Amino acid sequence: MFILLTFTLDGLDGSGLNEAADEDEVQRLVDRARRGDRAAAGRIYRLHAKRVFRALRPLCRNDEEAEEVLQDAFIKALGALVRYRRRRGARFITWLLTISLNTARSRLRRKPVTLVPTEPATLERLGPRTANLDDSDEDEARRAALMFALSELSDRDREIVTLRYGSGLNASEVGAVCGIREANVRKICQRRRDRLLRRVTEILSAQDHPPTCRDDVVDIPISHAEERP
Amino acid sequence: MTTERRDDDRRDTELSELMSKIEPAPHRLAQIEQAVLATVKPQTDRQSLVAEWLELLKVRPLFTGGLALAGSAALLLLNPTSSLLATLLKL
Repeated sequence: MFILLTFTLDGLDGSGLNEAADEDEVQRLVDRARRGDRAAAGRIYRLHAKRVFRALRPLCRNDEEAEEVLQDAFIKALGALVRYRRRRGARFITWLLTISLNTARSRLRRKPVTLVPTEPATLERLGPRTANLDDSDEDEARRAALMFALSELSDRDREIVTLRYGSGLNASEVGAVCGIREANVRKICQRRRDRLLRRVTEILSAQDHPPTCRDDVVDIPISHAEERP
Repeated sequence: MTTERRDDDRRDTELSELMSKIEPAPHRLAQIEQAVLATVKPQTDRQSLVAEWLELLKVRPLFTGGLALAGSAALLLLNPTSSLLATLLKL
């Protein structure tokens, strides 16, 4: 009886059950969108757009470019829904992200970019952090610091980390999208996660204590603890 | 071990929360939605017959196998049977 109760509680409490139900809903929306139902297509977009954007943004030069890729990717994906087949253990977002990343890659091949985003400029504009920074400035500074820290990772690691923590894929799904083994995804995520958190703290504390020699620009220290890609 | 795991989970959550700051402006999200939805139209599956059979074989292997067997048997038997019937009718 106790075992049965525990099993039932686990089933209700665990995210697996809810995720399965959510995925069923997404599948129904996909079926409707295939038949040209715009409301269903809109719901698919609203459910996934932010997570797709988080995977795309670190690959692009700025927000505008990432938004353009987001638009292209959704147009492609919604136009190709007829080819989507639900697979056991792979959610719809995995398919959507594969299309989105391919769209970004082919676009970036045409227009190669140097992956130093515009965010350091934002850090400079915000200047040294003070106690009276409001929440939106604080968020902007943290976002800028994160983008800068992400730009220091290799292309492959950046993609893996953003898919795992930005788009909310599990290790097995990230492995499927990037074509690497689940165990390697876990290892890379753990190592890069710690490095990113450390770098964000370093960058933000550099803002707290700006260098006296160059008071117009915030100096962002580069960590040499780990090899640069 | 448990403390290590808890620490791991805390760091996972911390980075996920940090990543959630990366998002487009709400008005841009709405504009993109409009542009995307303008392209949505009903889609027809233009799969080849072979691809459809292969797909069916993957989804319902027994049923498809049986159907293919029955089809082959019909092709093999129908011709001799019809010639036999034609001969008998002539008699």
